[in-house]
Amino acid sequence: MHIKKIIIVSILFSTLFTIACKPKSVAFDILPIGGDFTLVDQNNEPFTLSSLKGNIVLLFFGYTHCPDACPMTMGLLGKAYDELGDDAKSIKTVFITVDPERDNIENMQGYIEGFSETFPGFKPIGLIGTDDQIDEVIKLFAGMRMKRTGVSKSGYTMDHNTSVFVMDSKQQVRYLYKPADRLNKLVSILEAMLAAEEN
Amino acid sequence: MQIINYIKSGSVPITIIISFFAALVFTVNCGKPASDGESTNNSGFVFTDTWITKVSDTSEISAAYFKVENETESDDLFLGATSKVAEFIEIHEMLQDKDVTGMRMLDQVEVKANNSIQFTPGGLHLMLIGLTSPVKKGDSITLILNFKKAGPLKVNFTVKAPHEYYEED
Repeated sequence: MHIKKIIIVSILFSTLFTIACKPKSVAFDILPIGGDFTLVDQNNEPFTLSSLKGNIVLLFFGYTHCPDACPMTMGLLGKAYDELGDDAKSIKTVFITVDPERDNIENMQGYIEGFSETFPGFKPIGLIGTDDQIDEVIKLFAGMRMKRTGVSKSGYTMDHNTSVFVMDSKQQVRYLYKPADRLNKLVSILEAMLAAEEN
Repeated sequence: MQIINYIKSGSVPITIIISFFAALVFTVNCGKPASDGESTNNSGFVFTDTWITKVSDTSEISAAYFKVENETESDDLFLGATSKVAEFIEIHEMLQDKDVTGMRMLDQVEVKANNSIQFTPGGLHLMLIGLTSPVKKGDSITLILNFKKAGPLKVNFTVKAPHEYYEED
């Protein structure tokens, strides 16, 4: 009788845990930001965001002279790809410079190559453009950039948005992921979005 | 005295045997720094989690992170660092205003007596500017960390790819 009870309770708990562990098919609200744009990628080819339609896109802003937030966000996204395994194949990462003055084809190419181990088989897309082009894109995502001089011997630093804009396959922004949040939060958001795309 | 009786009778309870070995392990390890830490020149400062971000071969900058524990009885000031691998090294603090982040340079960071400071992504970091050679994953790089009272301390840093930071997340 006692063993029966234990078995029944164990089955109940197992069922509850299984339900809790499944990615929730949460419908993320569509955020009123984003839109199509064209810039230049690290291979010196024009890149239009809409060419990635059909893929989940992780888009964020940064610059190659950024020592902390940008490489660490790259590392975080690379680790999320690793956690998702094969499911990550359809997810694209787009890195847009906020420092068109210093970021050119050469250093953007080198920068992206530098993360080849972080993204094995998934090369991020690094984008550059003119001041005006970059400002237009930042405006689309309701962001900002500001040059700060006199704060470092590196010349200057850039203040910029740190959120990762998570877009669905129709390129609607569905989530602003803060890199300060834990990795498993990003992984569960992506799992939920991938599950929603399948339905 | 009970223990002596146990020994005399030759029947030592298992709890005593376990306690004995636990105490032995503790005593052997007592005073040793953590496995990835290094105590420098008996300065009373212990450094752990010492790593530098691997960036691209073309990059001119990188960041260094560490934890320092001041095990002395007096407060000290961390004044900055130097290294052969960089022209300049600056102490930076990340500032977050809503979704926007920026950096501020600091002249010094106080490390209080019997206290620790952690340089970690999103918080404090050392910015290495003007890299004289590419930093490769797995490289061991020496930085001289300067303290007002403790003076210059040599500390080894290991180069890691950024995603490795999240390995234990």
